[in-house]
Amino acid sequence: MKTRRIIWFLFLFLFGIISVSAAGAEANEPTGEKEQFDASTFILEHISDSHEWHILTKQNGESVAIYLPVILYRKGTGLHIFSSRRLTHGRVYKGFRLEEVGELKGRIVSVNEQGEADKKLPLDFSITKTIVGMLGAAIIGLWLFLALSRSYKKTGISYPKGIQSFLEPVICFVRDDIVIPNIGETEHERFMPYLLTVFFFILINNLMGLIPFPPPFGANVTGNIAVTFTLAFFSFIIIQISGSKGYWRHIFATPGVPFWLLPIMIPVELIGVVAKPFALMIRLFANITAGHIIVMSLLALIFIFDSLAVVPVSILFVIFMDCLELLVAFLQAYVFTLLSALFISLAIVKEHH
Amino acid sequence: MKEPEKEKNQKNQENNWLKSYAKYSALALQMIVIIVVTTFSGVKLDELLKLHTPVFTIILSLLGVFGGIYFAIKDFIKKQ
Repeated sequence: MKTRRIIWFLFLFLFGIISVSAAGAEANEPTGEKEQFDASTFILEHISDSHEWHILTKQNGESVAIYLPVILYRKGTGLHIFSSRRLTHGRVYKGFRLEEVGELKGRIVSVNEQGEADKKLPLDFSITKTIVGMLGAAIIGLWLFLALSRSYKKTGISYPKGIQSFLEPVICFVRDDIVIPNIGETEHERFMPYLLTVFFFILINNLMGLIPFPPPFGANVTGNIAVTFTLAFFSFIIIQISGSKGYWRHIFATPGVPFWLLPIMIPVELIGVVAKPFALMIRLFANITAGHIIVMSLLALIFIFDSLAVVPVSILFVIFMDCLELLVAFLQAYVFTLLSALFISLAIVKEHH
Repeated sequence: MKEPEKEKNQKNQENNWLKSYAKYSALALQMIVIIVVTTFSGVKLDELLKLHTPVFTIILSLLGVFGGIYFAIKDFIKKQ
């Protein structure tokens, strides 16, 4: 337990240092003849979503990337599907341009003949890096669980073997240690499909994010706020739908509160309803993004110091961080599932006054 | 204490560590989220309505702090 505390302390400490140095690097203007390495762009490009999957940059500056399909809907001209290769280097294609600077950096905008960007953005359904990562996770998940169900069909319930011995303990752990202690023996089955899906979705994506290569590994999926928002939104909807009479009474007519306080209490309670899933969203996003930023910063150190002597130190720290991230990957999947189960259990609780 | 019981106890403790980490950090995070969101929406509302005195910032940030403390205490009692 003590070692864990020390690890957490180190984690926070390192993150503190690196976030400062990354912020400092941002202020540096490229000076001198040799192009200076820009750590913050290097890191942010990895963290953020993009329309291409960058693999490497050749010495002559050419970049090798997988160009992902762009799917756009613009009012008036309808649906457009094309490769994102057509939008490289700020080129305009079919009246669309991929912004490379400014507020809308990384977004696709519609442009008129003069090359001015329209304020109204087209609807972007593109298969981006995050989505490729997610699809990869879905395929891996399907493969794992279909194989699992096949093997159960074949052998029936017996001692676990093969893939069963790997997945059965994890599923049992989710059921016996997360869901049943919170929701209870009688009602837990209703919520098991969702909670197990969320657990494995987060876990697989976290682990895939730790593997740097090849695509679809290495995308920052659970560190994308849109993904965590969607997960938290599902939890939110399930909590509200399964809310009992008592749950709603506690919000709109909190027992033991005088009626003149209700105008204050109702907004406060409503804030609480939203704040819980909101905290889930922020927590997953921040934890995974922070991990990716630390690993990338440690790698960036090599290029900042521009010396081979830093390499062993940097690699060692990266390995250390990766081990820590392995723990975090499981921990965050666990925490998200546990808190979802906890919030559901608070909502379905029967009146006991 | 018998061996299996001891083992079970140890496992429970391990789980408790994780569980209390999850629960209490959720409590803190919830308080932060409530205060930040209410204050931020207050500031934005004042900007939108172009008010001279930041009425909504004051009201909403106070409401946020009150709400944060309220939920922290409420959840803390529930988790005891």
